[in-house]
Amino acid sequence: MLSYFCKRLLAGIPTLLISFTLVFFIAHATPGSPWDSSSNRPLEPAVKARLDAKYHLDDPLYVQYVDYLAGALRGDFGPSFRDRTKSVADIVAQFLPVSLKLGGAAMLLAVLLGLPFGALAALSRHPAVDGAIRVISTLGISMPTYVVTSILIVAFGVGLGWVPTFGWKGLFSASSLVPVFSLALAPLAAVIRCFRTSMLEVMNLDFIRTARAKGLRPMTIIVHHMGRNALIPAVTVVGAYTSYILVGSFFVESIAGIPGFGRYFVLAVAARDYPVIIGTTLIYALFVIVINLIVDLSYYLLDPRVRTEHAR
Amino acid sequence: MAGEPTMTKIQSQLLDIADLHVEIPTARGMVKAVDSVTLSVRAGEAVGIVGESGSGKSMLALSIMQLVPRPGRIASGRISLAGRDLLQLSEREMRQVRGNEVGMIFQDPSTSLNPVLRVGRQVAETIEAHHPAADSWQQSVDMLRSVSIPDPQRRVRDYPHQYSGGMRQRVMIAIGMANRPKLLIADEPTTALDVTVQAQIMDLLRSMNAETGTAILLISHNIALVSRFCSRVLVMYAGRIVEEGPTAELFHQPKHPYTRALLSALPRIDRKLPQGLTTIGGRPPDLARLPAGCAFFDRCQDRIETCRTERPPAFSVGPGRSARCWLADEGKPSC
Ligand SMILES: Nc1ncnc2c1ncn2[C@@H]1O[C@H](COP(=O)(O)OP(=O)(O)OP(=O)(O)O)[C@@H](O)[C@H]1O
Ligand SMILES: [Mg+2]
Repeated sequence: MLSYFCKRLLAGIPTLLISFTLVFFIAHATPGSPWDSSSNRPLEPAVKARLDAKYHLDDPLYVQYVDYLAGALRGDFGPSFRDRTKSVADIVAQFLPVSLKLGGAAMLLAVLLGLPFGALAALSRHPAVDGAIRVISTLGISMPTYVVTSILIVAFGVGLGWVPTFGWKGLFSASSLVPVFSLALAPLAAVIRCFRTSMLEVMNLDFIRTARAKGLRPMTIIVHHMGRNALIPAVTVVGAYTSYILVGSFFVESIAGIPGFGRYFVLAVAARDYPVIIGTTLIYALFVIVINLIVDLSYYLLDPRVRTEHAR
Repeated sequence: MAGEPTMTKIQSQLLDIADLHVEIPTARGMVKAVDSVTLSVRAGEAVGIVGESGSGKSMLALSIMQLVPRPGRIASGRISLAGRDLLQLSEREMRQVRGNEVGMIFQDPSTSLNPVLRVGRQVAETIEAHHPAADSWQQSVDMLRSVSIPDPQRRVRDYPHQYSGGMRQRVMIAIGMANRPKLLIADEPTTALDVTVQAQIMDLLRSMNAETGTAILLISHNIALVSRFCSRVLVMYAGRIVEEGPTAELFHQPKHPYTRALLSALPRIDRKLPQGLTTIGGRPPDLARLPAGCAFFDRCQDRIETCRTERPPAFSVGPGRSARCWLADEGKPSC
């Protein structure tokens, strides 16, 4: 089993290399240069040439690629072009934690609310309860995040004045309420839908009838027999959203004024800040790889049939 | 049954079902899955119910546990267990009956166990649901040993998929018997199993019945199997009990044309385990549109004009025997 997960981790290395290569060439292929947008005044061509020379941007692209890859393998992604006093590592260390905290809280909220609501929608004999939950989850999936964030800020920040309209004072402050909820809405809706469907499937299976015939309490049947089985497909949905939510959302962070990773990444793309673009993309790829691994690990923990397969 | 000689033995009846109706509302109309069924099982007795697929055997079994799947429901009747009317119990009281006073095992052991829980847990939780059992895990090891699971100390930690089909059905029996119920309902317990395993499972049920005194209600479409196992047999057709009696008499002198058809559809008695009842001509009636007269009318070889229009009551045809057939009415000359 351990060897399986080691193998899976090793298999992540080519994925990272491919991501690195793709994003390197795509970034350099987009028109424009890092020195275009950093100032209102266009730079003298001579200055640009000197900057290019300093950062080896005048080398042939394959030379740059090899040099940069060599640096990256040593963990050195170089300085940011937009803010040359900072290295890529500094920027990640400064902006990623904010997004991680927000995203982590949002995913936790999505799971903690999504599972009970999904179960309630499936089990309730009141069509109104199921209907209401389905309307909410459909809205949650179909409304774009920037609309949700804007509405929440206008309603609770501008209108009611309960939360600040802009800025970041840490996770445990009113300033995190709107961004956490905006981020949580889409995964929450997805978890509700997925868990509702899988609960509906599980509740008609034969072993649920067995559980009833044993005289178990309804809560035991729901949690241990239906829930444990219905959780397995829900893990995939949670995994799919997690890496995406953890690296931060440009819209939520921009609208709510949060100094996060998602916003910084988009600004870096706009500024052709090659090192930051490449560094952040690799972080994202790494998240996807690790979270997929965690999803597989949870299958392994939740489903004994998978365990037996691996043992062979 | 309606015309049964009243041997006032109500006290010793374990299970007593009177005039039970189970209905399922459907788009086609009300399906009468169980239609005025009256039956009783004495303590320790092994009673069989035979009938074709769709005759309402499972619905009858589930209604004893009050587990008829929605939208089906028990429309009327009385089900009493050891003198207590189960239909009057609250859901909480009924939970104390399920798995405790009445155990149940089902047709397909590969889907009847929870795939993600250890076998031992699934036995233990049955005990814990009804008894404060600190040693429920040890008890579940003992239960697995009593149903002849090899190396129970170790296999108790396995998951269902690590067991063979026959072993899974043994686990189901261990679950059904975990709290020493007064009655075990076995709904087609061997249908999904290999022939050789079938015999082992039936042997196990027989020894459970002999050792613990648990009465068994065996449901099957396999009339040969039922005949070897049960002292009394009820034949079910279209939701009704059409004939009932001690096994030997019912088999040697069937009174209902349906029972006769069932028996003649069997291969010779001395051959091995006949399968199914597929050789009777015609199909059972739609339970949502039962005819006014006898439900077997369309397929009956011996029908008379009365059968078309009038529903036969259960006529007594000997001690402990009855048949729902106009021809069994000894007041009339039969042709
Ligand atoms: N959900 C349902 N809706 C409509 N009719 C149903 C439903 N469930 C069962 N029935 C009908 O109820 C009748 C009795 O079904 P039941 O499962 O009790 O038969 P059975 O004798 O156990 O058959 P089998 O040998 O196939 O298990 C059948 O005719 C079936 O068509
Ligand atoms: Mg059945």
